[in-house]
Amino acid sequence: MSGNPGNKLSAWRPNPPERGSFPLDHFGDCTAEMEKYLNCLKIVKNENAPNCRILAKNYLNCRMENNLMDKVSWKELGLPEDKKIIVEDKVEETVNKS
Amino acid sequence: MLSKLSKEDFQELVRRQKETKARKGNQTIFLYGCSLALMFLSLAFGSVPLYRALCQKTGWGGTPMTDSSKMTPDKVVAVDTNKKIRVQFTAETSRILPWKFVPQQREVYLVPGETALAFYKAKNNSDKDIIGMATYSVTPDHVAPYFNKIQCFCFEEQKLNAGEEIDMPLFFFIDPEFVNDPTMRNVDDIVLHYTFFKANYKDGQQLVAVTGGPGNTTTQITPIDNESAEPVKVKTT
Repeated sequence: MSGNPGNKLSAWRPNPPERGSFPLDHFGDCTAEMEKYLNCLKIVKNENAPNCRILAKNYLNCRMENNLMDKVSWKELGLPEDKKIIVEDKVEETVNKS
Repeated sequence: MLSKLSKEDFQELVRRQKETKARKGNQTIFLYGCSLALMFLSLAFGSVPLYRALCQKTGWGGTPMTDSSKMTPDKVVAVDTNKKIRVQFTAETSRILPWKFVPQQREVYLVPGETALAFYKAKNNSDKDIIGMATYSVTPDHVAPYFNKIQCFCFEEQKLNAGEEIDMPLFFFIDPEFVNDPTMRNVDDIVLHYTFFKANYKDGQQLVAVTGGPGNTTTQITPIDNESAEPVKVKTT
C-alpha cells in the first residue's frame, strides 16, 4: 500500500462512508424537505442550529419512508429522538390522575 | 597426588582443551547465527500481516480506518464547546463529464460530534445517460482521520439520465476525539472537496473511472462492497 510508512507526503486514501451511499432520489420525493432545510440554513447563516437539525431529521425520515435509506434509529444518527411519545405518556398520566 | 606430566603431555593437554573450547565456541556462534537468521526470516514473513494490522488500527501512512466502532451512538453526541468548526464545501467535475455539480450550501458551522446534513446538486447536461462516480478529499490532511461520513453519494456509481438533475445528500460528523487532540487545536476550517468522474463498465463488470487526461488515462476506482467495507483502491493504468 504505502512504500514509506509514516511519511506525510504519501497519497491520502479516502475513507469509505459508514452506511455506504444514499440511493438517488430520481423522482424528487424528498425535495420539499430538502428545500425547507436549505432555507433554514440560509436563515441561520449556515449554523448547524437545532431547528435546522429537526428539518434534517424530517428529510431523512422522508428518505426512510420512501425506501431511499435504511431505517436507522435517530440515536445512531445523532439526531434528537421523537418527542411525540413522551408527550403522549404525560397526557396519559394526567388523565389517569384526574 | 598430582601425576607428574611431562612438558609435552602438558602442552598436549592444554592444546586439546583449547581445541574443545574453540569447537564449543564455534558451535555456539553457529547456533546463535542460525537462530538470528531464523528470527529475521520469520519476521520478514510475519511483517506483512503484522504491518497491515498495525496500519489498520492506527491509520498510519494514510490507511483508511474502516473500523466500524468509530460510529457508535456515543460518538455522535455533540461536544460541549463554544468553538465551532467551519466546514466548507467545494465541488469539481472531470473535464469529460458533462455534468454541472455544485454544493447547495457554501459552508456549515458545527461542533465535533454533531451530525450535519449537506447537499450537492448534479445535473446531466448531455443527451445521454451517464454513470458518474465521486470521490472526496479533506483539507487539511491531518483532519482526515477525524472526518467521519455516515452516508454520502461517493464511491458508488451514480447514474444520471439525460438532462436529469438530482440532489445528493451527505450526512457526516467530526469525531469528538478532535477536541482532545492537541495538534487539532488551531484547526477551525475544514474544506470538503468532491470530484465527480465519468465511469464506464470495462471488461464485463469492473467499473472504471475515465479521466480525460493526455493519452486518455484510465483510473480504476473499485467501488466499495458495503458488507466487507474494503478500502477504495485507486490505480492509474
